[in-house]
Formats: sequence, structure tokens, C-alpha cells
Amino acid sequence: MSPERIQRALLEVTREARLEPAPEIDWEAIEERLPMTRVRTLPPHARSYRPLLLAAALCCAAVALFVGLPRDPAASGSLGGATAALPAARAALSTEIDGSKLAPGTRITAGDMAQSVVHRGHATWTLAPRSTGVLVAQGDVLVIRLEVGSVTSRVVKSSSVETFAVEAADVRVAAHGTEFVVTLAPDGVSVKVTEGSVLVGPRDQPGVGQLLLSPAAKQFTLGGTPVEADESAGLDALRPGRPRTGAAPIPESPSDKAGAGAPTPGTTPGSGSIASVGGPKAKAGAEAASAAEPTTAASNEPTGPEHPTAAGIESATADVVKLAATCFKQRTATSDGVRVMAQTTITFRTLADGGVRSIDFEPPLSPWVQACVKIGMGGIHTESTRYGFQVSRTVNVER
Amino acid sequence: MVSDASDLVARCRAGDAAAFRQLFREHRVAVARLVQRMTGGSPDLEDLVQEVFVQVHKSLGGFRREAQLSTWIYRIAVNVVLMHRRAQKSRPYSMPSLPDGNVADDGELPDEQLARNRRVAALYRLLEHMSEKKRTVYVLHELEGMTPTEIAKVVGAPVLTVRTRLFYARRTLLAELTAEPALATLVESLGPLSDPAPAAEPHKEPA
Repeated sequence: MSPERIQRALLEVTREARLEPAPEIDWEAIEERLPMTRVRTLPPHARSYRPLLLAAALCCAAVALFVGLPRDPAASGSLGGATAALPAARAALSTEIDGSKLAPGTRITAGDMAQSVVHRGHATWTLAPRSTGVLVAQGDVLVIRLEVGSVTSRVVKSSSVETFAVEAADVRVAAHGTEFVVTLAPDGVSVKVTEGSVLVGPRDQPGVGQLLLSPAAKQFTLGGTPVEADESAGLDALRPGRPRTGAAPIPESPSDKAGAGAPTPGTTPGSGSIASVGGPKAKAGAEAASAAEPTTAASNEPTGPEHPTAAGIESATADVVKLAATCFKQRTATSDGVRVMAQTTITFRTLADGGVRSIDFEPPLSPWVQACVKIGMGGIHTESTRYGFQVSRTVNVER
Repeated sequence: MVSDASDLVARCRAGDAAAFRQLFREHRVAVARLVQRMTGGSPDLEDLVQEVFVQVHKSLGGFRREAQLSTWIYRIAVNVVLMHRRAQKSRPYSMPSLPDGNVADDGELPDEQLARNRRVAALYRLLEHMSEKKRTVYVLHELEGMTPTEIAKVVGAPVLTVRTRLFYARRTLLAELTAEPALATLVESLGPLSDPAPAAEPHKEPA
């Protein structure tokens, strides 16, 4: 067949396709299904009173703020002198405040609705209704102080380890690129991490404490010492603001906890999502623990630090995520111009010598991607720890 | 009657249901035809057309009047179809539905009508196997009659890229045309060059 004939045939069939009539469609049915083509027939009072109801709610919030501030015992605390009533009043009139316009010392009190403070490109913190927080520091590290109630924080991931911290009583919760909730109650501070990780410890010792990896929830004393709650109950065990009952005896410090309840070889520390990180107290505790168990140390017990450092966890996680992303790109079929994306939670476990024991995905990726990861995980080396550790992280991969 | 687009869009933005109904009625046939051509006759045609107008309504705030309203709606329609096709990617391919024989009498014999329908269906099958970028520019240019400049606005690519995709789309079709029996028959039936078929390049842009 000559190319000219083929070309003419293409022109002919294209012309025929062009002349095809438009499809017959039940336009009335489509128009009926499009809500935006229908004239709304709301009851007259619903339309006329809606703005008034909103305005009334805002006014109530403002009044509640002015009335509530002087009676709030926490408001006259350590930062009482820095109270800025006017910014706080303005805050109550909006559900979202531009944090860059707030001066350190500004106290924010949420009325009947939650109140968000947005620091663009850095973090957003949202006070639960009737909660009070104070902006303590602006800049590279953003620090807020929770005086009453509960605050949910979402921190933009950054190359810096700590860019945001919440202080509640004498507890300091430092974020590592994360979303978490801190609730101040009379008997302690509860921390719930829904994404990423936070370091919880004494307020006057930044960098020291217990690392919580999401998903995790834990109760701390007002001094920053972890309370041994039933971690197996998961997040539901610690509802923000819920009084804790039936708690185990409170250890003196995180190091005491490490010494008293060391995990058995081959298991992951804590609940699998919680690990201690280094610091003077933690190191002292580890030494005390090894001194208290001479027979164990002399046997086949592996040596090395009991728990990984925060940097070690982040480094290992970055390597595993990079491997998964690379394998997904290499082993996912796609056609020209089609992007394939997937969200999965990666859980990896390490060995005492720093090797990777396993990498799992939930939901699972394709068998080809998982086989690639399995091959590649032999090349990852993590921090050596006595028992290995386990980390979970939700990631998006793309082809 | 086609209304003034700016006024219509302004009224739609203000929540005027009647205005949106007017916009829908003015553009629905063009959108349906485009969706049909982009999908080769998908059984989800009505749902897709509906989705296009839902997206148009959602995006009215982003209409900047840099392009004609129709071009802007085409752009949304193309995106809706592409998203739909990606979602359907893993499903088995279904043959485009052929028009039945109960069409208006235009003087064509039933056999001729059937043969033409088969040829058109064969063309859509060839387009189906093409990459979405090439298929999109081919449909917009050859079937919808849009110029490369207009297509560039719809697909968000440089005009030169559009022309390149068009070139490769034609080349792919020419290479695979005779793989379809209905089109191979057409090629066989065409006479010598002295009896040319009607030219099909009505969309050249002015120099």
C-alpha cells in the first residue's frame, strides 16, 4: 500500500469522525444534577439571620475573652508581665492570626471556637476552645507556652532538628517537623503525636528527654518525667485533658525508667514508636543500668547504646525513604506523561549491628518495588544499638 | 445567543444560578463533543460532562480572562478527561459504542453508514493506543478544529511542542492505520492519486 493512499485514508476517516453528530445526552437530567444551576430556596430567616448569628458568636467570644482574662489564675504566671491584652483581643475576633505580627509575650486565649496562629512557612498552632497560650519566642526557634487547655501544632519540616517547641508547666515538647497535641491538666501534661516525632523533656534542659515517634501518646508529670501509662492502649489511652487513673509509679527520671524496665533482646524499645535519646541524664541512666546488671553484660548480651539518637533515627529514616522512592521510580510502570503517586507507611526494623532487618509497607507497594527495596536494604547502615529499633513513617512516593 | 462572557462569568461568581445555567447551556454541546472525542465514546460520558461543569463552577474564581471562556472550559474538560482516563487505566479497555442504525436519513445507504461507523470506531481505537499528549492535540486540532495556538493554551504547552506532538501523532496513525481492517479496506478502496480525497486541513493559522 502506498504511503499516499494511507495518508489519504487518514484524512478521509478523520473527516468522517469530524462530521459525527454530537452525542445525544439527557441535558435536563444533567442540569438537574448540577446544584449550582438551581435557584436556592432557603427559608428567608435562614438567609437573613446567618450573618447576624456569626457576628453574635464573634462578639460572645470577644466578651468572654475580656471577662475571662483577669480571672484566669494561669494568666498571672511567669509571663504575666508580658501579657498583651490588645493582641489577645484581636485574636479572639478571628479564627486565624498571622503569627508574624505578634510580639513575644503576646497571650492568646481562644473563646468558644478554636484559635489558630499561623507562622507562614514555619508552623501553625491551634488553641482548643477556652485554652490560653503565650508566644514566648519568635525567630528560628518558635516557642509557645501553654497556660491553660490544649494546643495542636503542625510544624513544617525543616533541615534544622528543632524549630518549634511548646512549653507546658515544666515540660518542653520540641518538634522535629510534625503534628502533635499538648494538653495541660492539673496532674500532668499529655502529648499525642499524630505525625513525625517530638522530644519531650524538662523545660530547662532542651535536647534531653524522651522521643515520641508517631503515632504515640504519652503522659508526663508537670516536671517532664514520663508516666508509665498503658502504652499498648495506643492513642485512645490518653485523650487530651482526660484525668489519668491507675498509673504506674512515677520514676524519678527517664534514665530510671531505662534501668528498671529494659526490653528483652530482640524486641524494640518501648512500644515500638518510642525511644529515648541521649543527654546527660540518659547517659547516666544507661551507665547505671549496665552497672546494675553485671551478669547480663558479661554474657552474650549485645553491647552499645540502648536507644538510638534522634539524629540516628532521622538519618536511617531518610536512607530508607530514599531507597523506597528510588525503587518506586524504577519499578513502577507508567506511560508518557502519566504520574503515579502512592502514599504508604514505611516501617523498618534495625539490627543491633546497625543493619536493616526488615522494611514493610502499609498499604503494600507492588511486588516489584518491594523486591527492589529488599535488595537495596542491605546497603543501608544505621546507628548500632543494643537491640535495634523500629521506626514508622508515612511518605508519598511518585513516578 | 452567546452572552458577553465577562458579564456571564461575573454573574456566575456572584452566585447567580440563572447565569450558570446559561453558561452550561451555551457550552454543553461543545463540551460533550470534546469529551466524546477524547474518550472515544465512553459510557461515562454524561458523568464526565457533569464533572466538567462542576469543575468549571469551582474554578470560576480563577478565570483570568487571558483566554476565551470557551478555551478555558476546554482546558478544564481536557483535564477532567485525562484524570478520568488515568483512573480507568487499570480497567479493561472497552470498545467505544458504535452508533446504531437508527440515524437520521441523510441519503446514505445503511451499508455505507455501517462501514463509516466502523472506520470511525477504528480511528478511535488507534487514538486509544496513543499517548495522551499526542491524542489530545490530534483530537483538538483535527476533530475540534482548534489552531496550535489555541491548543497551546488548552494543554499549557508551547506552540512548538503542540506542533511536534501533532506531527508525531499523525506519524503514529499513519504507521498503524492498516492494522485496522476497516481502515485497510478504506485504503484499498481509494483510487489513484488523480482522484484525491477531500483535503482535511482546514485549521491552518494565518502566517
